[in-house]
Amino acid sequence: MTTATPDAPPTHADDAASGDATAAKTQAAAIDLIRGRLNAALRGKSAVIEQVLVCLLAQGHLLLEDLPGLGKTTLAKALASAVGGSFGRLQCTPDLLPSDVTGFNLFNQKSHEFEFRRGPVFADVLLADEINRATPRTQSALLEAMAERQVTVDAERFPLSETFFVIATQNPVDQHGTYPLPEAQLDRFAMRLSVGYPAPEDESRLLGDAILADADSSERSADKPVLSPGELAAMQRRVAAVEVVGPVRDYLVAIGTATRRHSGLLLGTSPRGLLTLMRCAQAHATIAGRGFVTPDDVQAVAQPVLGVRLASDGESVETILTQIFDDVPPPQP
Amino acid sequence: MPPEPTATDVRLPAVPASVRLHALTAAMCLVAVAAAAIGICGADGFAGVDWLWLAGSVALTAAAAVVGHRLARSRGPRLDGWSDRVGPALMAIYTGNVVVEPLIRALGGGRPLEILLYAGMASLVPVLAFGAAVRRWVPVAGLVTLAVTLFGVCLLSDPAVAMAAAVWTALVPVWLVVLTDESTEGERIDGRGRSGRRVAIAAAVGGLVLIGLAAASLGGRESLSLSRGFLASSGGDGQESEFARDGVGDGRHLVPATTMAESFGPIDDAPFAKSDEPSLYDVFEERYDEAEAVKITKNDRAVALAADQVQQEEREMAEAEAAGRAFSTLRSPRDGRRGEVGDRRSDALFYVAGRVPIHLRTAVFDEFDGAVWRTGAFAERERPTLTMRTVDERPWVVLRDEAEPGYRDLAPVLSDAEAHAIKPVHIDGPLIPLPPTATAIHIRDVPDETMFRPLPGGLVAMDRKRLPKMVPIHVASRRVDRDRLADDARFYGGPHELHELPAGPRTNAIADLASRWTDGLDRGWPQIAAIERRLRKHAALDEAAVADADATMPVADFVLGEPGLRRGPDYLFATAAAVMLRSQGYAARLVQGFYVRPEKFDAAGRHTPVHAGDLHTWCEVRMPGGVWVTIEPTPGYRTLGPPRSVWYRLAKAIAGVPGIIWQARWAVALTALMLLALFLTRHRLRDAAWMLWLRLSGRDRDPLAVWRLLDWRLRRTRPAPVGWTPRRRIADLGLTEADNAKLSRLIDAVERSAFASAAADGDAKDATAADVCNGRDLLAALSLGRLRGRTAQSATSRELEPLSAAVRRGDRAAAKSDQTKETAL
Repeated sequence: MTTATPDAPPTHADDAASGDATAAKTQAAAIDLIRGRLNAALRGKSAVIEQVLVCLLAQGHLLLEDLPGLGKTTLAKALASAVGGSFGRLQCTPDLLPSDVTGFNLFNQKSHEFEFRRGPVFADVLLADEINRATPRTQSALLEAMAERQVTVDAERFPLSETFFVIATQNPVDQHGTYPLPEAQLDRFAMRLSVGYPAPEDESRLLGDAILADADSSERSADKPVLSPGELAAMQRRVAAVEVVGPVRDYLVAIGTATRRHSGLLLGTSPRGLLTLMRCAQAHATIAGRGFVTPDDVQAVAQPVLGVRLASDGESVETILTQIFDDVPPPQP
Repeated sequence: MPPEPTATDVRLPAVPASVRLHALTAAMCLVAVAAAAIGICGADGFAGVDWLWLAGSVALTAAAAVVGHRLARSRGPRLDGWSDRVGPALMAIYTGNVVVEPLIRALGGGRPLEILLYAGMASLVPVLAFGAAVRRWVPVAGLVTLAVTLFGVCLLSDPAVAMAAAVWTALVPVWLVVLTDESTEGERIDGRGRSGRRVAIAAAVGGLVLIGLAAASLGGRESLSLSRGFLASSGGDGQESEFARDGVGDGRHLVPATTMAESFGPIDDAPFAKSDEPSLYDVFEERYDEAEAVKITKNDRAVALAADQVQQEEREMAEAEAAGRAFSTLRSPRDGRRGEVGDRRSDALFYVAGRVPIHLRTAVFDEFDGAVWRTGAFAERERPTLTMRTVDERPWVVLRDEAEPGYRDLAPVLSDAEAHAIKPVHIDGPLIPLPPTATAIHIRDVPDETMFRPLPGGLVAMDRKRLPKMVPIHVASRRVDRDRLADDARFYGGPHELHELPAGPRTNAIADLASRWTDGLDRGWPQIAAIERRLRKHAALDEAAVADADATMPVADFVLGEPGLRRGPDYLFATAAAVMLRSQGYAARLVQGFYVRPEKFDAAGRHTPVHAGDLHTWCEVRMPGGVWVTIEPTPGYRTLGPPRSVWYRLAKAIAGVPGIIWQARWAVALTALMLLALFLTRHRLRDAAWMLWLRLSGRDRDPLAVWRLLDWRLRRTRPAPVGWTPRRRIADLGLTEADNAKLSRLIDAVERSAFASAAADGDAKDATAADVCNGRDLLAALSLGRLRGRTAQSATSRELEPLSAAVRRGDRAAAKSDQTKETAL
């Protein structure tokens, strides 16, 4: 497998650079606003929030793996409200059926016709809580929707939202009655993040805020959306146009090859995984206000992106990835 | 409708070979082409190398390699196309070469079939030098160069071809290492464990050693092949040395072809060749009638090969010529070269196989009257006693019984016997030129000591009118080990005849000089060696210088003359040595003969020709036991020591090193100190030179150039994993925020220039311009020395950083509160 041919560099960078400097500025402002919202919702987790932003801009889905009560749902809700789309929620249980996810045709007694009842996947931001408790059948229905961005019910095709974004959570502790996501399914997520416990001072402030707050803090989620409709899609398109020069692409390929050849890894990254890594690096560059990707961008997003799709025996994937990124020489300036 | 693609239609794209691999392969191609050009020239009957043809083919190959390199760098589908055309091109060239041949033959040219096929293969090499720019053609190119080089060596035994093959052999290990290295490259996850530079250096050193050995063994003069101690490769029966079993050679394990068919002496040939010279082996002429074509005009004594069948007739005794009864040091000048001998077809008198330089005696003088040397009574008594002995089925005439007590005592200073072969060509007379301390003579199939006559002074002649032409005469002799003589004090005595000198004031003056030279030295070899050594520097060699006709004692004029006027030919040096040695009580004599010059060694023929111009005069000194040691006072001439193994020479050279160092101790110490200082400050020096270059070339305004230097400094001082990016390495430095910001701007600019295309570079120009002023400051702030210091500090400073920041914040807060207090007041 060689690198992509240099004949057709996938760049619309000229548009980005020459055309709309103002668009870039408004984009940066919008990103700052979203970041502010998320930071307000989830205190002291700016690193996680950066990755969430990357994932959002890279048009990927997010898998949050963490213990209950660490703010996964809060984060998802805040994101949905900031992005300005509809928010759907799916509480996964073993008896959840695929039709509960996608929707189903209902016979209307009045009109004597079947009409389609839309499932939660037709939201802009979907929170799939405890996805590993759903049966594999239901999981695959959801994951298919994630990959294809469309739902097919009774041979009828229903496209999902253009900016359809799934935040799935899973609890790593409960093993009883769960159906762990197979590696092939994990590949459909762009990233896996864990929120982790807040720092003591952040936790203290959290408690302080809670004293003053109403019992029902739902008002906050009703905040005005930051983005106007279609703006997220435009931003995502702009991210996809961020420049990745040949040496950086070669670097991505070298990392992909290294994961495939590493003895500690059972499964290396797929080409789709590399594509996701590149997209996320592009998003990271965008957030940093750059029109081109550097090796630093790749390294910044590598852990969550590759962490979701690599399987190891023994050593943790994080350790192996650190080792790989220490060993694969980045392109020299 | 296009056909369905089958498995065979799927082709991998052409992968360009790495530059180093292509360069190596191209070098092998060049060497192979050179070998082929020389080989084909030789096979085509050129009397040497056709340099135009050689240069042309090498240039063509080099050009093809360069074009291939350019093309490979361009990559893309164009490369695929070219790479696919290499195969058909090879086929076309090879077959075209054969197809055209009938035409050439019809036109009167043409080549033999094997040369034709070889030339066809050789003409593939330029195409492969081109094709090897693509990875898939590299092994093919390697194989074809192997075939071409090997066949070139087989075709022509020319040193140039052998040299080319040696170079090829030296390139191969490097090539294999690189090839293997690159074919396994993808199997490692990273750059770690890459054999890279070290293996390349090791391979290069190995290659150089190979080339050196090849050059040494092929070189014309005193070469490894002659020193014998190194990998004696020769025929043998495996009894003496298990490494000398068979094959052609001339080492001392040589066995006659009578015992092993594969093993034969390459010079024991042509004794039966018909010529008008009287043959030593008369069997043909004796058994059959005289051949019509070849009229025997001269007769000489011969050996019957089958003695019971062939009667030896014409047993005419040759004239009992003694070798030069008298020799006068009063000579008249002669024009041109001395004594050019008769036949001009080959100007060599005879050939010598064996180690050179060697002195071969033909005349001995031991009486001196001040002007003329004569062969005296002592030499007359010193005739060898000849006895026949068979060794290894070869008849040897033994000149001296080595079992006699006086001789046995000398064993420690004498080496083992070694063989020389003398092949007479135009030498007249029956006298055998004998090396010093000759012990035995062997001529094939001459089992009769009456064939030889002992002569005064230990010389031996054949009992014929002249030496048999082209019949090798093998002579065994032993060398005196001068290193061991140094401890030997047995130079006294000797018969009084050998001490005699003409009385007179001039003799006394020479004796005085000799006494001065030997003053303070032990008697024996140290004094003798001192006289030899001093004489060499005392006067200049001048073959044309001739003493005045009215001089009574030319040697005195020569020795006692003014420094600038002390010039003379070799016989004056030899006479001076003999006179001086005699004056000090050593038994010395004058010897004439041939000096076999190592410069003339013919590596291809493995022998040394001796010409009339090689006539030489030297001096000999007698040891108790009757061994004469060669003293060579003439500058430019050397004596032959015992064969030394390479290890002996190496050990001696190493043992000599401390002495040399001690002699030049100040220079050595100074140099060592300087080298040490250079070594210790090498990074600083490089850094300073780099910095200077940046300044002078104005590149300290170029972020990339600035970063390259900083990067190098960081790598020197802060080793980090190879996978770390510039930013990560800087983050690890623990710099102050201001420095970090500066550096960060620099890296922004660098990254922009490296990872953004020109189109996306839009606002980059301003940023670069803004960084311009940073370059010098940064380089000064992050100098090598400071970075070194930081290495030690960084850990602590990083720990302290948050603390000190907190302190600063606290200070600011305190100041602020003070301010508010003041305003409140």
